[in-house]
Amino acid sequence: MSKTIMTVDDSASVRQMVSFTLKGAGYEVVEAVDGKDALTKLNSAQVQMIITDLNMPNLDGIGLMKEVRANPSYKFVPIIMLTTESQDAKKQEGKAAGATGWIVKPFKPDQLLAVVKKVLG
Amino acid sequence: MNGEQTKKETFIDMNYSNMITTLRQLAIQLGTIAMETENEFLKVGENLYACSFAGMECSNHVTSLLEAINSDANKDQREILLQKLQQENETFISTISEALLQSNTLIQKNDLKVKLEVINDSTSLLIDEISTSFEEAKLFCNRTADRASRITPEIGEVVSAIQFHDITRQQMEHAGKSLSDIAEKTASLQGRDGDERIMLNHWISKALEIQKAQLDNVAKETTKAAENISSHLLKVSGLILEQAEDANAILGESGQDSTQKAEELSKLLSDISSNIKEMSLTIADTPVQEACMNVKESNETNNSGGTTEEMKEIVKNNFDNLAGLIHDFSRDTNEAVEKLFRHSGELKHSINEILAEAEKLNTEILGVISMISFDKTIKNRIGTITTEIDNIRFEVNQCISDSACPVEFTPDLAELLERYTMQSERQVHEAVMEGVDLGEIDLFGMDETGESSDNEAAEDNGGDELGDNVELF
Repeated sequence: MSKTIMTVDDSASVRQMVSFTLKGAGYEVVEAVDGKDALTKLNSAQVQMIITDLNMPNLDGIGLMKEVRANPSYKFVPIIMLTTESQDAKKQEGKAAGATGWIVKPFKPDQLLAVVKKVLG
Repeated sequence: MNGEQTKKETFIDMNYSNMITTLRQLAIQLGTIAMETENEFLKVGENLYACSFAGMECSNHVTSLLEAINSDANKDQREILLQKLQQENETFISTISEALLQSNTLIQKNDLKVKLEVINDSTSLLIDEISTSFEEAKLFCNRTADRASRITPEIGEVVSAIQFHDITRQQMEHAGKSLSDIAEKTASLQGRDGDERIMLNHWISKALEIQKAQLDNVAKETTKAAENISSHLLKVSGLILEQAEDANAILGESGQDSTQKAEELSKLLSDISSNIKEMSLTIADTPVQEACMNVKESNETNNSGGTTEEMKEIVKNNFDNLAGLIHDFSRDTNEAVEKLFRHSGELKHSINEILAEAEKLNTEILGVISMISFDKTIKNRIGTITTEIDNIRFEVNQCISDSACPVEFTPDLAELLERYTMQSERQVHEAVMEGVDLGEIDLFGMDETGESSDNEAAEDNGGDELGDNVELF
């Protein structure tokens, strides 16, 4: 059975490219438009990994991570930040909130797949 | 305050009022551009799905074909068949020669020699044809598989370029928000006077200069993104065209060739068969008595010492042996030719499918490229906006007195810095503040090497292995 990965981004084109890359490699993908939408969808879908943007309306990536880590079902789910932000201070903030890794946009499909394979094993 | 000064300030305030309205409109326009162009990026993305899917189908098709051709079972079967054919040909030729030597004058030797040579040559041609056909198929598949493997990284570059919509959208949003902030600061000018007013004018002028630079960068990056999408899609298209041309060449050269060879082989097989039959009939038609006589005479001449009965038995055995050999040889030759034709048919069918897929894919890609216009839209709209910004800045600068600004700008402009979400925006901001030419700065992303510079130093945690823009904690 293929693993399910959630992509959270307020940009439709980024969600599309993440889905394109992951679906092409055989993963199931759940899309969410922001952190709030992601939390709602996490209640009904079992996901093995989350790839989220940092800056989003309603609930940003850091806020989402804190909520997800507080949920026992998703306490250890890998969370990768996919963002335009590359500042070390932001990365450290993400790391402290429980991020597994950090990818600065734009990503190349083989990079994203390598990260997913490395994180999901 | 004399009457002249009041008149001047009213004039300036009226201009500011126009500026505020314009700045607010420009801020709204920047948000609209991002929304309008997103649909186009999404359409390119949707088409990329289709192209990539068809490309993968094409690639999978070739891979399966290659695997089938190179499979051990296929190879073994082919090798066994070729060896068998070769061995049987040699055995057949040597046995029949030996039999003829023994029966000596059974039939006309010269005719048989010629026929034996034809059979030998035809069999060699057949063996060569089978080998060449497999080698050609293998070569075609190898070339096709190589090209298919080069398509994937090109599609990866397009995936990367499409994400520039998100990047430029954020940049335009930030510039839009900054223009709104500038509008509000300008609105507050009406209640200020003296140094405070001069400070605000300087702030507005610098802030506008920064926004213009940010938007120029957006236009530049958008043009590069569009060029990247088009050029990489064209490379994909080029590779697909090469596939189609290659397939056409195989089908054309070999299309004509294939039919020609099939006809030649068919004729060849028929010749072999008729030669064998003819020879068999000739041998069978030779009266046994005459044969025995000849054998006897021959034996007497050769002084081998056998009786006539024994000689008859030898000749009979030789005929039986030959009949068996002819049967086996004919059966295996038929099997080889049938296999070759079947294989050629399957190969032709597969190549035809690859050709059809490649042509469809190429048409789709060219369609995608032709519909790319977001770069022109963004460039034109941003061009209009930056012209407006320049006009406003010109007016603001006219209001700034020649006296030096009495304060540092850093605290207020730092507010703008906090809005940025990417290093390239900060680089542009700092470059404007320091008066550095933006052309000298290598901003992120779409440079010639394809490496992103919009990233702080790569860490050891996976950065080297996965790329400079990746870090695993």
